[in-house]
Amino acid sequence: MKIEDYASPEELKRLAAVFMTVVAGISVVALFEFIVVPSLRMANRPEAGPEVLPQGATGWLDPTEYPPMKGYRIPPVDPKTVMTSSPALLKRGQELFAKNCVQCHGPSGLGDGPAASTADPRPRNFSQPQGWKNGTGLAGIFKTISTGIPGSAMAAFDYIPTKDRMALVHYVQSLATFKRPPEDPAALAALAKSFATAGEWVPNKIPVSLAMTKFEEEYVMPEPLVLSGVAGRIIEDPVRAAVWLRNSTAWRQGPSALAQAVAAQVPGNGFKISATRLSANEWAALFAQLRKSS
Amino acid sequence: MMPALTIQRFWANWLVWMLMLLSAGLGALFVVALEHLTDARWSVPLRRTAERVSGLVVPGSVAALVALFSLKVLYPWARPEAVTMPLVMAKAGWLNIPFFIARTLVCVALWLLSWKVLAGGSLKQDESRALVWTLRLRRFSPFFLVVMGLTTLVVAFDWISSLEPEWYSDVIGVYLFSGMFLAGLSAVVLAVSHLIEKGRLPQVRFDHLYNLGAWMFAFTVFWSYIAFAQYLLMWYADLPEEVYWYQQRSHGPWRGLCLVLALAHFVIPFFALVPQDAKGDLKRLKRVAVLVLAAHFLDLYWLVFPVLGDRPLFSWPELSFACFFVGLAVLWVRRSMSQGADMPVGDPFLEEGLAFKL
Amino acid sequence: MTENIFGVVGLFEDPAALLKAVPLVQSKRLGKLEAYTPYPVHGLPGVLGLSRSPLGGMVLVMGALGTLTAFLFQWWMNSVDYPLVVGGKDPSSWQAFVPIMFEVTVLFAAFTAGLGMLLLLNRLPDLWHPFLLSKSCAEVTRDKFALSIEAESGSLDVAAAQAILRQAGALSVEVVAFPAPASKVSLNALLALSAAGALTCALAGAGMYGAVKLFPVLPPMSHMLVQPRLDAQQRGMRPPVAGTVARGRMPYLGALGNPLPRTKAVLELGRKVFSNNCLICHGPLANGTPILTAAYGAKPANLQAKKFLSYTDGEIYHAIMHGKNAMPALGLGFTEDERWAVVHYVRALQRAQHAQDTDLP
Repeated sequence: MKIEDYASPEELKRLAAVFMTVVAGISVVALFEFIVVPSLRMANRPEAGPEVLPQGATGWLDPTEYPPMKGYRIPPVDPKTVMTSSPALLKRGQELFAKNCVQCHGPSGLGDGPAASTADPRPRNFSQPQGWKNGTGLAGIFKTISTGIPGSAMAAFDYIPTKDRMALVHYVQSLATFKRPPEDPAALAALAKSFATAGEWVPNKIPVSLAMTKFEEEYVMPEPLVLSGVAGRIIEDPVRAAVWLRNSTAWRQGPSALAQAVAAQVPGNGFKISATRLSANEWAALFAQLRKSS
Repeated sequence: MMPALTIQRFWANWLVWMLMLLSAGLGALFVVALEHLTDARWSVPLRRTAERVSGLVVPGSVAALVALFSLKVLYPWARPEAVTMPLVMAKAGWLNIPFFIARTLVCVALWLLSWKVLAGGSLKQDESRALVWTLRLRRFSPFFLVVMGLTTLVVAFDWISSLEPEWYSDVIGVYLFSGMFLAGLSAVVLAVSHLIEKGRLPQVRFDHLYNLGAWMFAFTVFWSYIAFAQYLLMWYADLPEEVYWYQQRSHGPWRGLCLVLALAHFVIPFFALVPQDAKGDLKRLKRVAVLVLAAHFLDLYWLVFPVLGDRPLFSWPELSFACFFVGLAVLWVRRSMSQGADMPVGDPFLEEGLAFKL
Repeated sequence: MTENIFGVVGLFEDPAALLKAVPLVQSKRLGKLEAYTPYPVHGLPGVLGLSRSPLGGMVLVMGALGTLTAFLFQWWMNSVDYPLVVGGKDPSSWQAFVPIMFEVTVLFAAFTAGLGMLLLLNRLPDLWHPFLLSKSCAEVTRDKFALSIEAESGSLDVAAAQAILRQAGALSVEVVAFPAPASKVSLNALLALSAAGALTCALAGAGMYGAVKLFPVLPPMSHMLVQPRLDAQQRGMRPPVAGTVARGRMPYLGALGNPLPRTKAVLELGRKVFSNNCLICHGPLANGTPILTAAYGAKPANLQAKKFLSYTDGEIYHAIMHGKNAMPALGLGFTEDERWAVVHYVRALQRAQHAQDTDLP
């Protein structure tokens, strides 16, 4: 039994031609898909990249649908383990730095991260002695990381556990290679004491859909506003206006505050644009009317 | 009630018609110069007609010299209150009366010289039949092309742009040139059709006329291209010192005029000349030429008259000016038609030109 | 034999002789007349009785179609499907459409003229036109002018045609036959072609791989925040001019209140808008650890931090409207209701991560 019994040489050649064309096509696609594109991606990966997390922090298919979890307490940190620097702490600090800080402060803490250009004031350069709003001591850096710097892009990283935060503190201090002023013993003692007394509470967690349902269940729609007098002339949507009046607080301070608050959100708050043209007396009347009804 | 003929209105009319005369004259002279420069054959039988039309440079130049008396009436930069306009004062190095008069004199001198050389040289060749005139005129033509380019720029800046001295547009010179060339071509077409109807150009055929038509066709597109480019840039940039010029020319009653201008200067001539046969059809060419000349008048009117007020003024003063200047131009060209041969009989290429085939 | 005859070709010395011959040959009506000349001869189309080419009309129609296409295209995109205000201009400003309309008109017209002439009217490419194989063709490419009487519906009186051409003054007369049918492309050639194709693909792929590996001339931006323009203007997204009021929007000036109730519809709207727009940076739980962080090292805000738990609704709304640090101002991309719904949904996310004891089932 030979192959020629089944197909003539011409047919074989034709088949071979088709086969080679298909293989060539597939190989070009495969080359791009598996080699060129991934290698481009690898070649341009930032060197000090952050830790890669699984998709969805909870690991569930729909990351918002995790089972309810009871909150628990993290026991207080033993000050002895975190008050002095150690290789283990520095290593942990470096990991956390790469994950949370490099974006602004840069891989070497020079304040040259990719997002640095969007921050005003610019992020701190840890190698320089200038700045350091809360000082270069352990307590100062811990305070900066825990509460952030108001008026700047420095956020409060209060959600990082205390021990990890201290690891970060030590790592940041290790980047400050200039001659630092000596540590303040009183501040150190206070910091150590705060570790010893306070534990940390990890809150309860419920799935997002449950939280939404809870909101819906708890929510009581306000009574629609009665459209009489001034209100009748300037309110477009009484239900919306009622919700807005209940959710805002500023207008309760008086007629002029009401005028300002209405003008700020008209017509999104259910009022007509013509509301901005009311006289002071009309605002006063409206204020009295609204305070009575809500 | 009769509308008043104010002094401003008088000079605005004068300015428009002076530019009309110059357009027809210089446009026709440009046709002549292009023929010499490119060694064109097809236009040799029509060249004498173009030379005769280019004689309108003379009344145009006289009108320009007379128009120098309008400076203090029409031009804000020439009046004492110009010192209160910082932008105008910044341009005082260019916009001042002595320099303006000097520029006008230089332009007029260059136009008259060019006309004398190009039209006069051709007449002399009729008598002497010397080839040397062909060579001389060919050598002179590039000079006139440069003169034409620079003087139209100066005319556009001086006589048109500086009506509103705070406004500026770099392309206004090209804009005016495209309109002038189109007007010159149209005037030549009208003159040629007159001669053909009188039987004085018996050998001019479809093939010759086709080239005139093709040129008109091309330049309607060129004019619209330049006009729209200027408008688009100013519309996009939306700079207050530029856009107010279009604001006052495209709102209220002027809006309709803009539309008429677009139709008469572009859409109608363009589609009228699209078919191949239409470009050499004398009857249609004549109609398009009349339309284009009217559109060129409207164009100049649209450039000049908005400085007089928000409403377009069109009444007996404008009509009398139109009658006077059209009559003057027709008489002027007809007078020159009664002298000399209807074709450049001394041109050695005349025979070749008559035999021209597409 | 006559079925195989393409036509009879006579050669003439000059254009004048050709033009003179045509009427005589034409009067016999033996077959279709065609002339082959080294250059266009004036008056020949008229004498041969060729009708005017329809190309001009085709170009006009296609040009007009181009204008219309470009106008409708831009009008639909710019003022119907995705109205975008650029430079304070009305999205449906016709002025901005004109350059494109002009370009597309020229494009359509030029392609119609070029392709219509070559492919449609001249029926090119025609490599096997019988005349190309005749001896007369060689002469025409030098200095002779050929007139051929071609067979119509397969039949031609060859003798009469030869006679009339001679009578008209032809220098020589040649009978041109259709060429023998060309053999089809052989399988070997097909195989060689496929192999060459496969080899080219493999070489090109390997070359591309090597080139990209060795000379990464155009590295894609791995961070959106690391891009050349940041060096030039020291910022990312350009903020609107101070005091800008978007069309149809009202700026707010004071403390804000949420005008939407916490109903199912509102929360679902918030969930949808959040998932489509915010999740990519803030993460599905708004805790600042999204896919983007893994891929690009971004560090968006953790909305579960204490700072944001204590934010008022108005402050969250303000951040959506005007951005915050690296976050761009996204407000104008959404309706007011969508923004307020997102605020409610963020509250739900915060509650899910900071639930009260009574919430636990």
